[in-house]
Amino acid sequence: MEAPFEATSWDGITGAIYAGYGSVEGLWLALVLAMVVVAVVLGWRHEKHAYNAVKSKD
Amino acid sequence: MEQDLASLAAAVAELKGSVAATNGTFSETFYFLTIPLMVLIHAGFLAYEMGASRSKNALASGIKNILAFALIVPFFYFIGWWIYWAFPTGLSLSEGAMGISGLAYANDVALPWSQYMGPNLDDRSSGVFWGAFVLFAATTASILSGGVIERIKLTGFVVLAIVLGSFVWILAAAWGWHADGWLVTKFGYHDFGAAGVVHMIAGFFSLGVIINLGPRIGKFNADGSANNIPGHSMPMTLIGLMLIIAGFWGFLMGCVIVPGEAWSWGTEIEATIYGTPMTISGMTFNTLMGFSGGIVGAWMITRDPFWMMSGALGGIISCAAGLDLWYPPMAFAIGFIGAVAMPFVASFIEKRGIDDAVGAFAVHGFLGMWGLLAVGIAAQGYPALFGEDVIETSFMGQLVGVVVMGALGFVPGYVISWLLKVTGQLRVPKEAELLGLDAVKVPASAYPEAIHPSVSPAE
Repeated sequence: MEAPFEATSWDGITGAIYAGYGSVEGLWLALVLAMVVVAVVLGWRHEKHAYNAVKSKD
Repeated sequence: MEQDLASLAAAVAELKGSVAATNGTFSETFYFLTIPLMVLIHAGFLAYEMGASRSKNALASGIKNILAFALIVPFFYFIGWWIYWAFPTGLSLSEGAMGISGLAYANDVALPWSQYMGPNLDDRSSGVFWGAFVLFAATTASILSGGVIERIKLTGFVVLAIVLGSFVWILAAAWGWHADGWLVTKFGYHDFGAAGVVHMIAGFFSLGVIINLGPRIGKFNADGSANNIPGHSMPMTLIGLMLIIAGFWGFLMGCVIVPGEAWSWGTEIEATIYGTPMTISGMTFNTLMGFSGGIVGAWMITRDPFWMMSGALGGIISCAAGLDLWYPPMAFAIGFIGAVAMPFVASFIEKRGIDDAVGAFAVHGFLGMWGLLAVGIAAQGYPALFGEDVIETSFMGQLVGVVVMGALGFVPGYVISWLLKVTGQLRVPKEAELLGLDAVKVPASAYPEAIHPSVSPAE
């Protein structure tokens, strides 16, 4: 995970410049997807526990 | 002499470079600015929905709205943008006549590991266009969010919002809001301001969800008559609606293709997404006239500030498909007619036992449909595309669009919400609904020192 070019100056640099271009995109995409899924699952569990708590009070 | 010519050529080249840089910065900034303006739509929906909720549900409604926006962003990055470029010609993934669609093109420009899907010194457009489309996507989810307040499960809603914002509406946009879209090339479908691909899709999707979700407790009496369940802050709702309208100007800016860039339709004048010429100036006449007609029409029928502001929104939506073409008084009349019909549509829906809490179907679904048909009635015969000997706008083309948008919105909304319903993931338990969703699951209080929670008559 580094600059997609080797240079000591920006002169002549064109095209995609984002870190990891052409190498590790899949890793980061998978990580983002996993983060979203984990967050939603934990949100679902929080809701479930909250509703169960209300039901048990009644 | 030769030295003078060389010097002149160098000066011209420098001047051209400077003009290109200025125009590039202008166009990049133009679309960049649509984004904060469209964020106003979401500020508006946030206030609108929280105000339309009873105080016991105000924050839960807010969380739902904020989270939908946030989750649509990554999913639109993963898949939504690719769908837009892959499917214009239908489900075949083939390339259209303009050469800006199909599997190969979509893979090149919109796969999430494409060189254009991040900082790229040779590309000053992808990010700002993608951003504007994300905000359109989030708008569809906000439309759904309003209709389902006070009784939907958050995670069930999130699933529906992602499906609507990152799959359904963008497929509709590929078909009807793209120069290679089959509705445009085969039927001359015209939808400049997204009356169909955003509003109608979201409104019909919402209707499908609301049918499965069922009404709030206390909305209907045993004899089927309906109770009004007022929100806890009408002023907050009204300000929210006005913010949505302010944001609409950014939304409409995002519907314009500016001239002078490699991806533009020309060098001299703005164009629609179909490549047909238009001016922002002309659109301004019509947007304000539609806005005005909507307020006056709704006021005449209801005298109710909620419907007046919904009428403002509805007036613009009624005119949206043809904002590039209307004679301004025509825009006023179309907005007025739409807004006059809107409360009756809301009442009709309510009489069917459907609890659309903020009239999302009437304002977006019905008026989006009216907007498409209005183009078919009053703006027939315009060339529908960039180029020579192209198909013209027609009533039949708009009618086909209405049928496609209605089905493409309603069916996924109904089917997915039905699946969530049968798996117990759609609606909160009765006990939680009665207590109020804020007390049940929100670790904060909307009004810790004031406002007593209201209840509806049947509660």
